[in-house]
Formats: sequence, structure tokens, C-alpha cells
Amino acid sequence: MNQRVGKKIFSLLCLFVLKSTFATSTLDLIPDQLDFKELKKLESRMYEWVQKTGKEDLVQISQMSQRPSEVELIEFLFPHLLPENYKGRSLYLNCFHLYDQLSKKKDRPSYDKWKQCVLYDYRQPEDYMQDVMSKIEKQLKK
Amino acid sequence: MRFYSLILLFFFIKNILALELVQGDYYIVNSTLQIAGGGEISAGTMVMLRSPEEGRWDVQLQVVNESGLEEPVRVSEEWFKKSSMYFGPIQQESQAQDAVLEDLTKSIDTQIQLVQNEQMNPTEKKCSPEVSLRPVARPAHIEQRAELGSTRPVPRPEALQVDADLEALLFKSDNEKDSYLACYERERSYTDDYRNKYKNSIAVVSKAATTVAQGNGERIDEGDFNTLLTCLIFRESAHFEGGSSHSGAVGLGQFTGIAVKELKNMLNHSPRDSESLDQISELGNLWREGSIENIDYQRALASRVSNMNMRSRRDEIKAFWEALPFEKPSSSQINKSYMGDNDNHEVVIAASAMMLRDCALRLKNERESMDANLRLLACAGAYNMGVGGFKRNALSRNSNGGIYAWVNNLKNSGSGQANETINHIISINRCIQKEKNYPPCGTRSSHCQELNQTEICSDPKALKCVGEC
Repeated sequence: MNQRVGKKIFSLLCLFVLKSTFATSTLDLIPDQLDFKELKKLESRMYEWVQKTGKEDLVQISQMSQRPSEVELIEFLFPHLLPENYKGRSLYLNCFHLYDQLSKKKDRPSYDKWKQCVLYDYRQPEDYMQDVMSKIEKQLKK
Repeated sequence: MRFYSLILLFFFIKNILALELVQGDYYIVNSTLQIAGGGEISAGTMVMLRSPEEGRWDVQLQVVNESGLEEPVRVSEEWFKKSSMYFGPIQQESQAQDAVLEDLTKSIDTQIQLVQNEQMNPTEKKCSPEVSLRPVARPAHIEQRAELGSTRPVPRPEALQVDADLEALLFKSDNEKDSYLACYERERSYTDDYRNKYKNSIAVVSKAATTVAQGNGERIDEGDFNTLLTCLIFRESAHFEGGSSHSGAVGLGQFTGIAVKELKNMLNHSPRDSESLDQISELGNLWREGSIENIDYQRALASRVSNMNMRSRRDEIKAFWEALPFEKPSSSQINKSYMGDNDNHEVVIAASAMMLRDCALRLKNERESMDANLRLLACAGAYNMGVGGFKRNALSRNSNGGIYAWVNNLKNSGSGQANETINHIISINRCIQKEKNYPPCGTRSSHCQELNQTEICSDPKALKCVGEC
């Protein structure tokens, strides 16, 4: 009995350690089920975060390399929420029109165009970007 | 079993403790923290947490120094949690610390007094014949202060960057570059392929690329471009082997499927000024047939490009493609298997140069103050990570600071590709850098006893690859 409990605790602790080792904070912000409805909700949450943080702070954050995870996600998916004088805003808007089309059409061709743009901009995309892309791909119209 | 459980329990508790932010308590920063609005807190510095506000992106910290607490600064809360260690509350200064502080205060007072005296009687002190101009020995108690010293860790000064960057921008000559490549050869047959085939293609491509760029107002040296392109191909192709990588990239330029698509987009681009483009294409044909001398080709090409009505950076890229003096495939003929065939070295090398130039033009639009060679070097880094990724992770701060600043930014970026890109750009930098012959990351020389080499680990100024030394 004791051995069983010990094994369970051991497995739980293993999971915890693995999770804390491999999880990145940006990935934590992304829900497991990321359909287009969830993406809208995520956008609203990020909008609130942007409002709370304020333009001045955001411009300061844009000059830093040690940035909060929320900002990374916003730069990637919702750059239109960033203030005009945010450093590199135009760069982050590169693929946004394609993402915008994708969120309206939700079909394979729009997805492929957006993915190509992202992959060209980020030849080796970050883990969370790949995670978002694969989750979106699962939600496309058949 | 018990031993492992204890270790895991330790991690568990450590994880929980690491998340705790207690206002008024002290923390030790264990890797550099960036301050909002500029500046940084070095590793080893003790800070006091002033205000951890729920739900905000930042926290306020005060650096602890000998005289107390400095002005509050703001840093990212997430990065503070990642980069610091809980120290705890500090109840009382120890007697030893008190002694240090007292001594420091005394010596500062004395120095202020000395300066004030000097300001009050400047003529008397400096011109009076009785006063010697020799340096005066410091008062005894100031010398003593230096011996006392604080037990707190002193942040290490960073290496001077300006000189290093200037050195990094002096490129090897053609002969120096070839000696370097031979020195780090992997297989004799690969180096022979370079000497007999690729070297000429790189030279032709470099001439066309830089002439077109100069016609479009860029100050770029053909020799420098040639050296950089050679070093990029050397690195990408694993010392001119040019096989397939685990990520599916192929050939001398290690083109991925997505890069092939982008290349096709560049080739399918139609500039409005088709007349100039036809003339440029004709010049390329004349050069190929040997009907005109190199110098005439260059003059005529630069002049035609400068008169071309350019509307986008892709116009220049297309002009460069048309100016090339060899048989060019149509975009529909280009695919991964074509790009993976080393016999197509002319086109593959030209395609790599197009990627470099396209990136350099993007950076030129967005970072006007950046030097042309610095942009080229940055684009060699972007070749590995993607232009967007490199801009975001390596050029996020002080993009004009050169490779030292970029490597620092990459280290702090948290990107999963940071280490690979650091090694990539350091390797290319070592290959291009004049008078230095450090090995590409992850390799050793076996053929270059005669080459002037310095032991990398004993050179404090040299950038180190990840895991080196």
C-alpha cells in the first residue's frame, strides 16, 4: 500500500518537475483547446492586458529584450493592439493581414499563406508559435 | 527510491519558493536583469523588492550598495522571477559591514574636503612655486580603505565593445580567406570542389550583387561581400559538403521548403520598369559570352540600375538575378531537389546572395543608421534564424552594437534557437574576421600549423561559442 502511494507521489513529482522544466510562460498563456472562438477570447484578454499596461510602459517594454510573455504573444498574433510608436510594430504586422483573413475564412489556403509568412519571418519559429499553428490547423474547415 | 523522492521534493519546494515575492525582502540577481527605460542590474547584485503589485508586468527594485539603497527601478516581473534568488529579510547590519560603511563615509568626506580646498584657492595652489606639480600621495586612510573591501560580490566589468566591433568589421582578404577554409577543411574533395567550382561562382555572384547594390546607392565592397558569402556557404554546407540536414534543409545554401517558396516569389516578381530590366539582362548575356570586359560590365550595370525606376526592394533583387551571367532556370524549375544538387552551385549561391541582399534591404529600410557591413553580418545571422526572428531576438537592443550586443541579446532572449544562432553567427564572424583564425564553433583545425592562431580560451576579448572554454 505504502509503496503504491509512494509511486504515485513519485510520478506526480516527476510530472511537476518535467512541467516546470519544459513549460515556457508563453505556452502557459495558450489554452489547450485553441479554436477560433478561444482565439477571440485570447485577443480580448490581451486587449485588457494592453489597456492595463498602458502605452508608455508598452513603448518601454518594446525597447527591452527581457519582455513579459504576454507581449510576445501579442507581437505574434495581435500586433494591431500595440501602440503606434511601439518599436518594431511594422515588423510584427508583416503577417497580420494574413492572420486576419485566416480568422475570417478559417480555411486551408488562408492558413497556408499565413503559415508561409510566419515561417519566412521566423525560419525556426519558437515553440509557442508552432504550438499555436498546429492548434489552429486542427480547427480548419474540412 | 527514497533518495530520488527527496531530490524531487527539493525541486518541488524550490519551485514554490521561487515564485514567492515578498515586499521589503532581499534577493540576489543571478543573471543580468534589464531595467525598463535603460540600464541593467548585473549578476551578483543584491536588491530589495519594493513593490510586487498583483497582475502588473513589472516589479520595483532597489539595488543595495555600501551606502544603502539606490533609487527604485523597474524590471519585468517574469524575468525577475527567472533571474533571481530569494535571500530573505535583512534585520541588522553586521559589525564588519558597519566598519566598512564608516570608513567609506570618512574617506568620501576627506576627498570632498580636498576638492573644496582646491576650488577655493586654485591659483595659489597651482602657480605657487612652493607647490610641487608632482602627484601627491593619497592620505594613508584612503589607502587603508582599499584593503578593507566589502564582502559583497562586485559586478564584473564588461569587455570593451567598440574596439572589438571595429575589428569584427575588417574582413579577410581573398588569400587569407582561402587559407582559413583550407585550415578547417573536413574532406579534401570538398575543398577541391570549392577551389575548382564554387569559388568562381561566388566571385561572379558577388560582383553582380554588389554592382547592382552600388547602382542602388549602397556603399558595399565586393571583396567584403565575397568573403561573407563564402563564409556563409562554408558554414551552411558543413564545410562545402552540401548534403541534407536533419531539419530537411538541402544543398550548399541549406534551403528549406519555405525558403524555396520565398525564392520563387522573388523570381516571380515583375518590376514595372521592364525596359531597364531587359537592358540589365542583355548586359548579363554579354558578360557571359565574353563580349565585354568585367569593368565595362560593372560600369554599365551600375549606371542602368541607378536609372531604373525602383518601387520596392524586390526590384533590386530581380535586377541582380537578371544581371547574372549564366543560364538561369525559370521559377517553376526550382524546387528542393534542384537546390540540393551541388552541380547547380551557380544558381544556389546566387539564391543565397539574394536572401542576404533581401534581408540587408529590409534592415536598411528599418534601421537607416546601421552600417552596410554590419547589416550584412546581421543578415548572415538572420539566414539561420529568419529575418523576423533575428530582429526580434538579436537586434532587439543596441542593434548597432555589433555581434557582442547581438549575442548578448540572444542570450537574454529566451529563444529556443538562441544557442544555435549564437554559434552560427560567431562561426561566420570568425571566418570573415581579418588576422584572426579562430575555429568555427564545434570544430578544430588539423591542417593549419602555419596559420597565425591564438588560443581562443586565452583571448579575453574573443567571443566564445556556446559551451566553449
